[in-house]
Amino acid sequence: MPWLTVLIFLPLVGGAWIWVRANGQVEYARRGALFVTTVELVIVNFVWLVAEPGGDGYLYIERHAWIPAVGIQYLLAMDGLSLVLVLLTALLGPIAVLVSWNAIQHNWPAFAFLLLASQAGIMGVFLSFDLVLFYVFWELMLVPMYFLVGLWGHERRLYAAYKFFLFTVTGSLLMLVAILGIYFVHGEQTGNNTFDYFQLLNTDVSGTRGMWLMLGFFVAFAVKIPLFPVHSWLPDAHTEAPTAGSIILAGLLLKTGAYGLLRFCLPLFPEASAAFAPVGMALGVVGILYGALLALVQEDMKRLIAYSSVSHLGFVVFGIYAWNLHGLSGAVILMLAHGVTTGAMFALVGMLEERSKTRQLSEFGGLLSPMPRLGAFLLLFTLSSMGMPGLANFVGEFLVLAGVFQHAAGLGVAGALGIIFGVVYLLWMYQRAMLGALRRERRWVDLKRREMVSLGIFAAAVLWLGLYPAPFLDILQGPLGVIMESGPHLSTGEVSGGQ
Amino acid sequence: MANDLVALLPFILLAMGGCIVLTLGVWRRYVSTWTMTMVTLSFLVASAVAAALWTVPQQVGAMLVIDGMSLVFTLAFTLGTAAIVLLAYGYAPTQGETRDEFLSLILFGTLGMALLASTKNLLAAFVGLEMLAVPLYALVAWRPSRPGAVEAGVKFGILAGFAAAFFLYGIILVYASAGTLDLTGISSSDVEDRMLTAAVILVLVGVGFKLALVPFHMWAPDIYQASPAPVTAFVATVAKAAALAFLIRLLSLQLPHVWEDLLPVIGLLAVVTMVVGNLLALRQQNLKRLLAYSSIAHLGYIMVALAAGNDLGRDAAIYYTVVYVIMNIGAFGVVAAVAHSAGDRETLSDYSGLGRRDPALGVAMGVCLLALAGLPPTAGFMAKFLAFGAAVDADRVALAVIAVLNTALAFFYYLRILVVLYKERGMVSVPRANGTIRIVVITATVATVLLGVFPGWLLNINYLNNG
Repeated sequence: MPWLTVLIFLPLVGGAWIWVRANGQVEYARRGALFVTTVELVIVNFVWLVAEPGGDGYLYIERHAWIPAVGIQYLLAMDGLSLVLVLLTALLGPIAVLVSWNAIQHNWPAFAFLLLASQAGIMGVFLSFDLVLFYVFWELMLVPMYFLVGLWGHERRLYAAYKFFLFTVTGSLLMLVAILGIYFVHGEQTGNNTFDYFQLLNTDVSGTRGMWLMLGFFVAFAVKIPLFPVHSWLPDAHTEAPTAGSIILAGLLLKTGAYGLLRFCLPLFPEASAAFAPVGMALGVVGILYGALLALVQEDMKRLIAYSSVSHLGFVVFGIYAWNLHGLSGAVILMLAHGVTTGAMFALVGMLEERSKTRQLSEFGGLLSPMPRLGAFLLLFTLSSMGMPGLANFVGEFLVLAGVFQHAAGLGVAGALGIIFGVVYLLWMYQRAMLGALRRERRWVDLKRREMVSLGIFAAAVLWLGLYPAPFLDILQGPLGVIMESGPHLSTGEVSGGQ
Repeated sequence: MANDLVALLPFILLAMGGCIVLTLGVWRRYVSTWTMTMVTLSFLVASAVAAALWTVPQQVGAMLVIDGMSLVFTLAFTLGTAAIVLLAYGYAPTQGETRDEFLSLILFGTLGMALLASTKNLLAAFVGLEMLAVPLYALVAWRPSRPGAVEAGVKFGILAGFAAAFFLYGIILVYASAGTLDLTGISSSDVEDRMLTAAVILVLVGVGFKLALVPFHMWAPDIYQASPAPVTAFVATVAKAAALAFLIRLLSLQLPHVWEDLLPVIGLLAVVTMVVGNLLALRQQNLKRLLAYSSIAHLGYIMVALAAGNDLGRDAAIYYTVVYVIMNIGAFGVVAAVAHSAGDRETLSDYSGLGRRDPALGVAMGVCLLALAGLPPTAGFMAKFLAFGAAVDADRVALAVIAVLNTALAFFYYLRILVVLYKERGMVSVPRANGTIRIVVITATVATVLLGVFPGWLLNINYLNNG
């Protein structure tokens, strides 16, 4: 069975089916979307269980000729790094459907199609190993997202959707030029014109040319992550997106940027990336502190969480450019942790908004007593986001800092400072929303079963990642080892088991 | 001789078709518009079939050459024109009026295009260009009672006259310096003087007018806006593609010392055309004018491929031209589909909510617009990919970077249209679009996607036998 193709096209075909067949029946669309995403999740787990790594560390490879005239193939592959991110993508699918159940009020069938199409695009990004195929999915995942924000978003949705699309598309088009650049460099060196990732790995790109090509890729990924100077689309897009859109954006789209750094920037251009690493780490630190400082002053809960994403993704970049096994595994674990934690926080804000039609912290207060279950879940995810030991983010942040301290203690201290800021703004947010006296007279209804289920899945994932990350670290060992070998530093430590 | 006649069959069929349709117009008994349309279509399709059966490569007389490039373009022109004839038949504002004059003009114009695609002689190229241009003035001014029709026709005629003058002057200079008008002859003559360069520049100016490259673009938006949508589609798609076909053949000549001087100029022309086209389109509220400016920008991207001056650039330009025709026929088809009986819907807000009212047209327009913007996996992406690839291959990275930044800019206005299409409130009523238009639009949309996923269909053709 070509499982990887199934993983990509099942949501796409399922979504199109729902759109065409639903005829405006909301219930059909909701249940259909839930069914498709659940089947997708089951298949991913099945694929994980039966996977047997080949000699080269890849669990699955599918290779077909596509456009032989210019050396483009339909080349999908899955290694440990792809696997964990595909798991995250599949996990967020059903949750995104569940949180939209009542929140989406018009045109559910089209919404379901776009949600599933964006899931398919993201799957494609994590599984493509032909650079053109990768680029196709990379662009393709933007369009459904643009419509999700632009059609179902809040008040300033059009502005946010344009900004999101133009930022990302500019970055990715520059990457397209870089892809073409490395293709022709490789063709000149070997006489073999191909976009095959595995063959391009052996291309010798050094000097200024390598630096420019690397920067072409880096810009595209930096916009997605987002790194400090090009982050300004993110708060708008997150704030204006419907809840499911925020979950996909924060949980998955940002991860594609970090994944791109790990998969393409570092291994394809080791020399240029090594030279660039100090800048990369500095940009990471700036992101950590800048995001945290801005989060401190936000009144809108969604915006606050959006800025906290900038801060957390700063940690990821920080760890990636530390370029040792601690840093890299920390970065990937933090990507997963951020995906579930932030996804859960956005889901919670969405639930609060459904009940009160507002996201302003000043309108909340004392909500713990009427809604103890919601309060408890929010506490769990707030603590995880702060980096509480035993919960998901701690493992990632700890490993990242451990990696960075090995060769830049000063930067490590600056990063640790970011965690402290994080404690401040997150606790403050929790206090203003949940504790104190009830500000507004209204009947608050606590979580319903559907909401409990989706948050319960998030909570289980947060606890699993926090208490027993060993299975994920084991899967990641191989692929991260390969990235390490391409790098300038020697492996300085083994990561094994939980913390 | 007999072989030549067989090879000339596509041209003969087009000319015969034009005459027969004219005769039908003055027939003793009234011939219905449907019959005339069908006769026109059958001649177009027969011409396409005859072209598809060509044995390539071969030379026909001293004037024409039949190779992979003329095959692809002749097919694109005949089938593209057939699509436009169908659009015109279903187009509400001219219901029942697209009869003998209209259809024969279109057939004669197509003959001019087919000649341009296969010419190997500059004089034959001039004949083709004029054979195309004269029907175009007439079509633009067609139905003189329509407001603005005569003005647009005169404007177009005067500018095209200038263009023809430049072109003629250019070929006279070519003859003066190379001593021949035959393209292969010019290629093999090793004249080293600057006169040939000047001559090629003049020819370029002439073709540049037809293509509406900046700074020769002033006519395009006015003509696009003033003409009925099917005529606009004809002027904007196949007619431009015919001029491009000749340009591509001209730029494939082996004249290293001329190209050394000229490729940077073509690169500059490409940059100016892209930037100006996109900037003018950015805030445009009139959909037909917007499509006009966007097609100017597209010509700029094609010039990027040609400025590369390598084989990949030539193949990319051919692919891009064919795709450009298909995408734009789709987009103009939607404009034609929703026209009032009084005329086209022009401003963007007239289209709001179309995607919700008529999902099939909405999706088709969406796909065509995203293809124009260059989104994978449509053919529009593959075309840009190849064009920019050619530029990178020729070490013109700056040109490629400017082109991608322009592409990003262009996304803005295409997305603006898309959002309008899916607005919640809007269009009170969408006329039930005519079946023939619907077929054209959907075929163009499907072709756009298929050519994007399987570009090999066009890429595996050996265009010029000299490789």
